[in-house]
Formats: sequence, structure tokens, C-alpha cells
Amino acid sequence: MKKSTFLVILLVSIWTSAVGVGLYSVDAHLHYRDLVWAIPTGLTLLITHMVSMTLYFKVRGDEPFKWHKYKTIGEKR
Amino acid sequence: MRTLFVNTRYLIVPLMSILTILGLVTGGIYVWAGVALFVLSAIIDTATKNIHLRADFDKDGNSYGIKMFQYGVMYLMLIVFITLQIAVAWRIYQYVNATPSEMLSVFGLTVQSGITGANLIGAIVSAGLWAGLGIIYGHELSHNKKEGFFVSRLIMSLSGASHFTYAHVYQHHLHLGHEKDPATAPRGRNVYMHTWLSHAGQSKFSFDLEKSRLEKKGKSFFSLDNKWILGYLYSLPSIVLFVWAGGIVGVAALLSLWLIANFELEALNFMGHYGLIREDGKPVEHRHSWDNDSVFTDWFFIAIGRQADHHVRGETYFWELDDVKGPNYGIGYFSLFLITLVPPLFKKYVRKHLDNWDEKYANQKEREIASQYGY
Amino acid sequence: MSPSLLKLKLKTGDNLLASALGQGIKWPHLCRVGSCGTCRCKLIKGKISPEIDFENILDQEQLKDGYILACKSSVRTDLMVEVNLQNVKPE
Repeated sequence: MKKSTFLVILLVSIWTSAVGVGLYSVDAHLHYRDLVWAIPTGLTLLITHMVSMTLYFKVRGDEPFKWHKYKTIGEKR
Repeated sequence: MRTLFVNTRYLIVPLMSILTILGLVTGGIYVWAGVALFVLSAIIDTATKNIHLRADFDKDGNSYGIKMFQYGVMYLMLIVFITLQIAVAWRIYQYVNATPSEMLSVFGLTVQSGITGANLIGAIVSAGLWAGLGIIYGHELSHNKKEGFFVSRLIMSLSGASHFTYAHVYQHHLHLGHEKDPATAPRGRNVYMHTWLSHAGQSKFSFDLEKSRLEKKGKSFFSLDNKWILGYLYSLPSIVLFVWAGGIVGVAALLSLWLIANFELEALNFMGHYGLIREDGKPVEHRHSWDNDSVFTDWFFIAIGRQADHHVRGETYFWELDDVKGPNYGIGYFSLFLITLVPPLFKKYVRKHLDNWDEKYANQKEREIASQYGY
Repeated sequence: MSPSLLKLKLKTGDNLLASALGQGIKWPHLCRVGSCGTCRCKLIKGKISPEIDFENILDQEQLKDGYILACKSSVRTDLMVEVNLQNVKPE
């Protein structure tokens, strides 16, 4: 696995876990039926996702989308 | 009569979506209706794979399609897809509440209140399969101005993929067949990897576009003027709904629904351009897209399978797109979709089609590029 | 190169670029969905209905000068447009 792939998986895992722990510590999982909790919880999850995507873009850049890794060497058919 | 036929034949997805919603509302085993309808569609699609019909025009060359009707249906589908989400959220609510099972009468309809875990899975899969088909309307409306474009964004936001609307028009249509287009799958990639890379790539396009645009305007990235951020905010009501309905179970359900829906969306991109190559900057021609336009596929997917004509004549309404004798898999989308699920099988299947494309469609430069890749 | 006058037969609702290409005009174009700007022309007289938001591709100055994207313009009245048939790359 590439270093940057490992790094982004690690960063996103840490970030998501931190948010999860944060939500758990304020008992968000118990108050979700109250809209006063559900809306900020939903927003927190959305922001978590957007930050995760941003981390992926910043760490991995354009590399994942390049086609060179699919090129075959030598006899291909 | 012809006008009626041409305009109503594209109502397969609206009707089946409504039946799926009715299944979710009715409850019990009927929550699996969406799955059953998907399987039924696959069977019909496979059985009719050899039937091809051309676009319909009268003797004066006028289309039988009624723009107002077709656009009305597309706009209404936003309501249908929202209702689909509400219906499944209701079932999640009942599951988490351990609502006892009993028969109720709601507006004359007998519904089963309460839901088992197994049936909840059925409800989520049903909803995911049909929510994913929002792509066909999201796609068509992305080629429109303000109101249509906005409705496209909202339909796609129900699957957390609002970025699709910008990326499809301003990235995919410009760069298809080249690595600058994340929606084009190169030879050797499987549909699972493609789902992630195409989704992330299109989101990144929207991210970069907005970063650049706002920098030029001297505005902060963190503003409601940022269309990347706004696109995700359009998904907030769905997230709040599922959080409120079921807490952790609701979130897991929404993630599952989005996974299924996005997989369908990116599988369509995968099938539409797999392995086809275009030199950067050269005009898009018919040979740069795969067509899948057997009769049921064509009507079900509102001619999205007429990719070749759509990419060359992007201004054309879907009901006027035609078979332009471009590269064609020769089977319907459902059949092809099932094959893509097994990558080694897909690789074996697509081999002859790619060889044919290299020989009969590709120009010299495209052939040279293709020769660097396997299947 | 001096401008020349070319006439096209159009009816209400026709797509400007598609009609021009269909009548043999080598109108510059690339994407045909309003995402590259290659087909842009200046609307001198008449009315069109834009089928997408031109401001995503054309800047404010171009919009003020009356530029439109032919591939996403639906004809409403008789038109007079100015197009550079030598234009091949979007700016």
C-alpha cells in the first residue's frame, strides 16, 4: 500500500473516531429524537464527511485518478 | 396514439418507484417490493435484449415527445424520491421503537405497523436500489439551466452526490475517454474501485473548481457561495431525518442506502465508457461511448444508454436520441450490470468488445494508447 | 480576414449550433453541452432562450457584450449573430 494511502486512511480513521467519541461523550446517541440534538448531530456528521473528503484530496492529490497504474508491462494479450 | 406511446413508455421508473414506496408503506413482506421490481426489470431487460427501436419522429421530422410532460415527470420525481426516503425513515423509526406488529388502515390502505430486522434490510435495499435510479433524472436535468439544474442538484443530494451535477457537465463531457475524467474507467479497473474513484474524483473536481473560482473573486472558501459546500448542505435534511428516525441505526441505514445508490450511479458511468480512449483536446465522437439501447434499457433508463449520440449532440432531448451505430455491448444495462459485479467475468466478457473497438473504431493514436493497457 | 454574411434557415425552438452544423456551417464546437465555450458567438439582434446558465463559462464582460453559447441557445426570433469561424480553442 502506498504511504499516502496509509496516511489518509489513518487520518480519516482518527478524525472519524474522534468525532464519534465526541458525540458519544455528549450522549448524542441517546437524545437523537430531540430535533435540538438531531440537527447538530446531523451537521456534525456531514462536516465529518466533508473534512474526510478534504483530507483525501489534500493527501492523495490527483494520484489515485491517474491511469498509469493500469498499464501492463510486456505481453498484455 | 403514437404520441401517447412515446411519452408514457418512459414512465417505468416513476411507476416502479411509486410501487416501491407503496411496498414500504404497506409493510411486512411488501417492503421487499423494490428488490422484486429490480429483479423483474432485470429479467425483462435480458429477455428483450435483441429488440432495438429507433427514435420516433413523424413524417415532418418532428418528435412525438412532449417536453412539458417529460420535464414535469422529471421534476415530480424529486418529490417521489423524497417520499421514498421518508417512507424508509418511517420504517427505521418503527424498528428502533420496537413498534409492535399490527394491521392498521391508513387512507383505506391496510398497512402492517412495525417491522422486523430482516424486513428492515429489505426496506433499505429496496429504497437504495430505486434512489440510485435518481441518476437518470439528475443526469438529464444537469443539462438544463437554473431551475432544472437546481432540481438535479437536489435529486443527487438525496444520495450525497450533489457534486455530480457540476462534474458531469463541466468535467465528464469535456474530458471523457481521458484520465482527466474520473467517470471514465480505464482498462483494468473494476466497478468497485471505480465507484470510489469516480465519486471522489467528481467531488474533487467540484472542490477544486470552487476553490479556484472563489480565489479569483477574492472570497473565502468557507462561505455559502461555495457550491461544493452547498451541495453537501443539500444532503443535510436527509442526514437529520435518518439521525432523528433511528440514531446510530438510522445513520447506518442512510450510509447503506447511499452506498447502494452511488454504486448504481458509478456503475452506469463504468458501463458507459469502460476502456474507451480519446486523445486529450480532440472532439468527442460517437466511438468514445458505449451504447446500451435495447428496448427495455432504453425506456427504463430514459435513453441514458444512447451515450454515443448524447455525447455528440448534448443539446438533444433524451426522447430524440438515436442509435448512431456506435460501439454497443449488445445487451441491456441490467445484464451488463450483473456481469460487472464479477470482475474476472466482466474482463472476459469485455475483451471481444474492446478488441472490436480497437480494430474498427479507434484511430491510430487511440490504438497506440490502448495498446499500453490490458482489458 | 473580413467578415462575411451567412444566412441560415431557422424556426422557433431550433438549437442554434445544431441548425448551423446541419446546414453545412463549420461552426466551431467541442462539447455541445455548454461546458467549453468553443461555440460562443455574439448576439447582435434577436432573442434566444438559454438552455443552461452561460455565466458558468462566459465571464461578466462577455455576457454584457451579448455573447451566448450556440450549443445551448434555443432560437426565439430572427437573429443576427457574429461568430468567429476560425475560433477553435476556448479562452
